[in-house]
Amino acid sequence: MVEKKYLLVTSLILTISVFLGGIFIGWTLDHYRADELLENIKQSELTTESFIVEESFIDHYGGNRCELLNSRVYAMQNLIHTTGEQLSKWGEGDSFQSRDFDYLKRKYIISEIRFFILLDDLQNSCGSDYNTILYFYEKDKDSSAKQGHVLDELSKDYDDLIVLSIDRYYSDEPLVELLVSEYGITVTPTIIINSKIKLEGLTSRAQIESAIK
Amino acid sequence: MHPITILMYCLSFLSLYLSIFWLSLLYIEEKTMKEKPEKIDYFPKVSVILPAHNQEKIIAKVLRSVLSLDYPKDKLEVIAVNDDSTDRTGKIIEEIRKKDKRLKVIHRHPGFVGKAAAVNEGLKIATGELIGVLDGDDPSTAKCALKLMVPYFKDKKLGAVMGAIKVWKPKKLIEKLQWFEYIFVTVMRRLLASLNALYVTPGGAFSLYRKSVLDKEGPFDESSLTEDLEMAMRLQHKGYKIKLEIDCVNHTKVPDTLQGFHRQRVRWYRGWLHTVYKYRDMILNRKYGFLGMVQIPVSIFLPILLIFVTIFIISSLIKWAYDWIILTGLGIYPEFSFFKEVFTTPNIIILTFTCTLILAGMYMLSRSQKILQENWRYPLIIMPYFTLYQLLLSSYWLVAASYEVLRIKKKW
Repeated sequence: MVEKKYLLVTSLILTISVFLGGIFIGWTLDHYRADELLENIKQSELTTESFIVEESFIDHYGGNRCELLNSRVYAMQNLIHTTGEQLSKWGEGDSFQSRDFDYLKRKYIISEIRFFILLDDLQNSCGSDYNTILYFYEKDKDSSAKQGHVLDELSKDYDDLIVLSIDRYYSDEPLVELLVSEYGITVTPTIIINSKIKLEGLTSRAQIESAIK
Repeated sequence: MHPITILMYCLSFLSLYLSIFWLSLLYIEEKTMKEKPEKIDYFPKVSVILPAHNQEKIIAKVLRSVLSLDYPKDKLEVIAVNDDSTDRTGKIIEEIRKKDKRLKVIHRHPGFVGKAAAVNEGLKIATGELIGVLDGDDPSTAKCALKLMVPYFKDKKLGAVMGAIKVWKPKKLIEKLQWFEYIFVTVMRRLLASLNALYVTPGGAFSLYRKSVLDKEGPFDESSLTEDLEMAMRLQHKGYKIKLEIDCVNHTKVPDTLQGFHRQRVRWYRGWLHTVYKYRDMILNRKYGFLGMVQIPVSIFLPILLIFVTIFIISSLIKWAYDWIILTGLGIYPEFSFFKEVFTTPNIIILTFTCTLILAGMYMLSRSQKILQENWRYPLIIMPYFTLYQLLLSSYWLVAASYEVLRIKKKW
């Protein structure tokens, strides 16, 4: 009977211990995820930096700039895609370390925009075959999520399609507002194809396909 | 942190807490579950009341089983209340009465009055110190040894004792699912009884009441949809104890159609809502110990939670179907990405919460089967029992609550 009397309390202590253990594991996993993300972003920064140096080298000593640009696109695209996926998964979970998350998200957006400028440059100076989509979305908006699905499917099917997602209402990074005013974004989702075609609202796969071809 | 995530954490905590609590209690109680009260040298007279309405097919079998209970013959009286039967029920009872004078009969005509009123009729002529109530529609053949139950009444504060219930020959899926439920619930009730928090004395379990307590506290509530639940709560409210004898096993016939099941569960749940409202002063009242402070609040909270979970699951499925249609319209043929989407972080919390309950439930079920000396039956139905069946029960809570809100007339 004595055991039973304290059962509620002992169960509570046990539950709190298990729960605290769970929170600790979650916190550790968050750290691990943050480290992994940071590593990806660092890699992307290094790639860009190395590219800039190589570009200066070619300017100075001569060489094929377009070949260099082309060789960098694939590596950077992969890094940005992976980082974006990790960030969106992390963002869904209301992480314990929101400050880390905000910092990494901002870094990611800067990397994306830098990559976008490189692609634009590649297209203008080398006339490459890449199709670039700037996708302006709104967090927690159903139509944006659906547009994301469509773009995900498309990027799986088209190797030359590069999709860069920008949170329309991300206010921490002034560069986002610059892009928004540059392309006159008023609704979400909006997609900009190759800096020229603007498609507003939920857009079907067929519409995008006809625009990129 | 998002409020929904905080709520999810709270639910996970609560489910883990309750699981640990019940598993610990089971661990402590399992060793003593089979212990019996001290034997008695005096056998009080027992009156078994058996309400019957159009049960010509089984009434003879039930009556014979009650009359042959292992109890001194001169201390057993059986009162069959023929509640406005239009078939041969009355005649069959009369034929048996001619052969066994311990059987008393009340023929109620005209107008079917229902179980509570029929039992109350029987109570008026009962001469026993203890009153047994058995559902007349049970083909259970009361095998419960009264000798196991009666010694509990040595405790003067004891108001009632109930037996264990098992499902009678389950054949259809819906019966097999209920078979699991009855096994599980019986052991849970035995655990509740150990905390003096048992709040139901179903007729199908051959419940035994102290006549003096019924005389003092009043007969069964004829306006209640669940008169046995109301009586048990009334006994607890008045400070009487209720025990469960795990070795006194009765079998009951359960609904074998979804329609019958629906009708039964909605009646039970509406009855529960009414009873809890009637004895609302017990909620969070320290005077009622574990029952008032934990069990009743959890019993109120759980259906509400189940209703929300049901709404959440149904709306998620509708949304998933809607998304699928929209995406298909957009030229995307999405793979069945349900599991992919389930493993997002907020859903992982829901999964943890659900898995904790399911694992604890499965362990409890396996122990319950051992305690009630049952083999592992129907292994393929275990998972549906812990998932789809619970969802079905949740939807009945939703229906019962809606009926109450819409004030739909109560039906027995």
